[in-house]
Amino acid sequence: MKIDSGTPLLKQLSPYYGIEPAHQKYVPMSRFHGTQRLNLMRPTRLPANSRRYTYGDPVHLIDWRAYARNEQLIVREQNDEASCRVTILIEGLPSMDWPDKSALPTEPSSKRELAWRIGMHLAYQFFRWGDQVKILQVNEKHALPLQLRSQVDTAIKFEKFQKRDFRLGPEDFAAVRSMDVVREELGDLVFWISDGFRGIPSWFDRRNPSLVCWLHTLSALEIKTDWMDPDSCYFDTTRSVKEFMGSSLMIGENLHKAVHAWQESVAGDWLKRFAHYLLLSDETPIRTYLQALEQPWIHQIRSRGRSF
Amino acid sequence: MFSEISWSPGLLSWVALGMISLGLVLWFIIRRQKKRLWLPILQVLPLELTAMPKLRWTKPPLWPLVCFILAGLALGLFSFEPSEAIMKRENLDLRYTHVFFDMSPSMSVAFTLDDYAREAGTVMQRLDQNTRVSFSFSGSPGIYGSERRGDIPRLVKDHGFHRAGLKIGAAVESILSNSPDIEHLIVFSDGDRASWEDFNWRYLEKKVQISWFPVSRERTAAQNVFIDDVKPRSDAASDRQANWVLVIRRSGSGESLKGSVSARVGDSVLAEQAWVMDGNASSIDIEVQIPPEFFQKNKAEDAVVVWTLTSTGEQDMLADNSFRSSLKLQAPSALLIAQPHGEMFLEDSVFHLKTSLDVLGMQTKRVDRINDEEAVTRDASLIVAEAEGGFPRSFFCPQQRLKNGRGDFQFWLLPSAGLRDYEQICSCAAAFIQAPRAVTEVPNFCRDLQTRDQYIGVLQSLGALQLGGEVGSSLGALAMQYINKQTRTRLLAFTVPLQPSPETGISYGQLPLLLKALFDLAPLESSDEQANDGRWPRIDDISKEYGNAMLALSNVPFLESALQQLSAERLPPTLQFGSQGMLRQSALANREKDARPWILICLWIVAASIWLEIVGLAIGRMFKGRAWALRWFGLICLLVLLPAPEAEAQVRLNLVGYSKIPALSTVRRDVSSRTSIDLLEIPRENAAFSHDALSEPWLWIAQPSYLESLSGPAIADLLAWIQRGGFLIIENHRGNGFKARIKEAIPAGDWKPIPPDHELMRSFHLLSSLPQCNDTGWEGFHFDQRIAVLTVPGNFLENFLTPANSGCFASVPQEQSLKIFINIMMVVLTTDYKNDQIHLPEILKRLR
Repeated sequence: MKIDSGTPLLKQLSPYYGIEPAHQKYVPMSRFHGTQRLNLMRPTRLPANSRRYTYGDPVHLIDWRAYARNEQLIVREQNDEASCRVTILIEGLPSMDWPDKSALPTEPSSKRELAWRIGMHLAYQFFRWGDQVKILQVNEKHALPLQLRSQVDTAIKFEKFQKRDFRLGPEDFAAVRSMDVVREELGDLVFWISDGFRGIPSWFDRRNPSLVCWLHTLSALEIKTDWMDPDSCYFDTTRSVKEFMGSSLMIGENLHKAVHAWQESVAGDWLKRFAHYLLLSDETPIRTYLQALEQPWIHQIRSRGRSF
Repeated sequence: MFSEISWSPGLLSWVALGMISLGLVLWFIIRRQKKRLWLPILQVLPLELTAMPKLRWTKPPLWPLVCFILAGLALGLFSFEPSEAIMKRENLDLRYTHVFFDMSPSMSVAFTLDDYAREAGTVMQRLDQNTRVSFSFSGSPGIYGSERRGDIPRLVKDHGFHRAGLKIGAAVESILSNSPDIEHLIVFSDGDRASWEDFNWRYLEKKVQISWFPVSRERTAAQNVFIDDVKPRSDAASDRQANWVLVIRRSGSGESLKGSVSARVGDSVLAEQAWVMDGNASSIDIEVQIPPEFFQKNKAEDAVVVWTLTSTGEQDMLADNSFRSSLKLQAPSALLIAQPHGEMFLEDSVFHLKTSLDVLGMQTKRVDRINDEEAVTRDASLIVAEAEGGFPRSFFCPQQRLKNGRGDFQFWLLPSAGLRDYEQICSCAAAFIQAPRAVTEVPNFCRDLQTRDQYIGVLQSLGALQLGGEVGSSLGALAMQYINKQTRTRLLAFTVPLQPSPETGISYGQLPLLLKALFDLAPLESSDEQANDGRWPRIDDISKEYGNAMLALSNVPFLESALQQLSAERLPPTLQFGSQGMLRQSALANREKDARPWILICLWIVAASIWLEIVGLAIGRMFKGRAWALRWFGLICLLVLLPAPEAEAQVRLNLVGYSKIPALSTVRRDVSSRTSIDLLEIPRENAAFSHDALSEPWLWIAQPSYLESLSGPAIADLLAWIQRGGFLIIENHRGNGFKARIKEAIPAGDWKPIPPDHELMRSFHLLSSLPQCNDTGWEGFHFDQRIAVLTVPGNFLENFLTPANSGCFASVPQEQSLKIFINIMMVVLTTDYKNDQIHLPEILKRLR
């Protein structure tokens, strides 16, 4: 899809793009305690407790009168929110640093920048909703937690990082924590922002009670091939052993097909174990990203709440 | 034509081709250095791509590659060694072949007579299978058939090497005239310059095939000493027979030589003298004195002195070591016929001529009037006749001699200084030309000839040829020359007096030199060989002198002695006898091809490719991503090369009511030197105001009354013209009569005096003020943001073109007037273009 330059893209994402979840759009709420909605599953006539019917909801909760009025299946139930613990894990491997600004004539934004923009955006929004948010940069064996206290703190840190092109050093993080500790402390909602080049990390446990969402961030330059100059580009995988030339990657959309096949396979692997997956690139429009987040899946916390 | 040429690659061509291919390889490797990118996603992709070689074909830029390949091809071709098979077998069996044996003195260098006979016999033997063969020797005109082949040794001995020179061209001509059916002519000769030089054998190629059987000169010592000339001492007035000067010359240089020279008459040795020649000297003069006792005993006139040269060093040619000279010293005599000019001999033209001829060693005699009976008239080898006005031709024209002469004299006909009547001199020339027929009357074509030009014209129409002056302009001729074929005498009819004077441009010193040059050009013929001041004949071409009694004893010509070789390109194809028969060099061989055009083409291509490479790269960077610019780049280059039409701006002065036509030449020069405008020299003069007067952008009107008297339609025309952009200048304006009329017709405009910052003051020159006249200033009618009508308070134009002392603007300097005029012209052509702010920097620059 050709995107005109006026459309805000993810590479321009700042924390202030508000997420308006579907259920909140319907009736504005005055009271926020967090994203974790406690569905009490009791029928109510209050319009504030309305939501759209989703597959599996008890039929007796449907407001048939409302359906008669506007042909929408509205479920009215009593619910309440509680603050939930959100953990945002950002991949810290060197492959996230690509594309390097010095390597290409244009100035592309790196996957690291994209990941941090998304992470800070999520943190800001969840703080706004009253949740507890933790951001950690995850390397293979350990994690570096970023100290974030509030919505304002997130905004200040975002501005600071933006000036440095999101090149974060050890001084920005708190003390190194072991991955085992981190795994134990995963909250209710986990966002894993990564390019997935190392596959699904072992510390993600299927038995983990958290709701885990993988925001698969790739660079647009990895998905598209039209920027490549087949006459002048070599590509190497390990910088010395194996070399590919631009044209051999482009013949018959070789790279294009391979990337899609790989992406579908890793997404399939992920979805066998976890429910949520979202592919994002720096060329994805912010609107698309926000719409995806606003879908009811994010509120499956709610269904989990049933178990409480 | 190329089928006969084989292209053999030499070492140079291999080097060139190697360099070209190396350049092509490097081109593809170096020109396109790959950019290396790290694409980490390839680590996780299951791509089935094998590692590819780092070298690969990439499309190079088109034009530089084309130029490079062209240059490479040209260089490669150029470095080949095109060659033609030099020797070809020729099947000459059926043709009539003639062999010409050269026996000129230079051949004696290479051969003894026995060797020569053997070699000639071999050649004839190899030609045995030919159907028809004949041969001849240069020493005689006879042609021998192949049946006389056995007689060759005897014939060679009989003929011997002759002392006279040989011109092969003339000899071949005489052979071909004797037997014109010869198809192949083989010249058995060396490459001697004296023999071959005049032979244009290529001319004969279509008719007869000419081959050269080369004779090598292996035995040469590259050195030949010979007597070049023997002459009596010129300064020995009394005893010329006894004092002689010998010029000994040599070909080549190097070691110093010495030897002796002896003079003999019959068996008795008269004198002997040693000589020494330096290593770097090419000739020496030595003086030899014949003892007076000889003259007492013998009658010297009949004696022939044989000078014999002996040298200690080795020599090539022996024939030219003996040199003959006669003891009969008789200088050629000249008879001068001219009227005496009193005692002031310095002003006498023939006096100087006589002196000069004396200096040249002639015996001269001057007479006032011709006497055909006198001995000197009959014997003189040069007759100089000066025709003077008022004297009939019987006074100076040697009619009897003209009629009876047989190639034994030369006749010079001179006009005297200031000759007005060419009738007599012309009829004398006509008598010479028509000799031996007697001419008694003055011919019709000679009547009423009064000028030199007519005289020259008549001589030319009689067949005389120009001598001196420029080709094609006979009026500049010094003399007209005519050779009478029947009497074999030569006429030099001079068109100017042979007199040292400013008019003729001849100085006293130049006259003898001029005469000497004339004698070189038109040598004096003499029937009496002995009268040649002791000189013995030298025969350059034997083929014209067969039967001459002096032939055997003649002196060897200088060129034969010099032993110079002609270069191989100028000689006919060579002939050899190989084991399989006759081999003839191709006629196309030895034709040089000039390599410069090829080198130039290569250089141009190389330069163009470099230029295209550089400019193409620059253009490619400038128009990156715009492919059309590169595609049309060549076309754009061509368009740039097309010459732009030269801009022209011509203005014509358009006047109404001016009495005098002003001279514009100086104004035009000034205007065109200062501006780019070409003011036409001839102004358009309109007698009265008419529609035609409005075809120019401006109009000068001498008096306002011309306008006030205009009719209605004429005024309408004028106003329409002004509104279209015309510019009206009205001079001598003092009243207000028509101003209101114009204002009424064009209400949008307004009359205003010209302010100091008006465009009229700065359109070209920066003026401070305009001159006033009786306190009346210049006014302009402004409308449409421009000035359309200008009123001048006086006769500005008239004063400007013909400066006068009266009038309002008489005190205005010419320079100021010119500046005002140019400014007006600029405003007419451009209006107020300087108000545009874009010109401000330039205006400020000039103001500083």
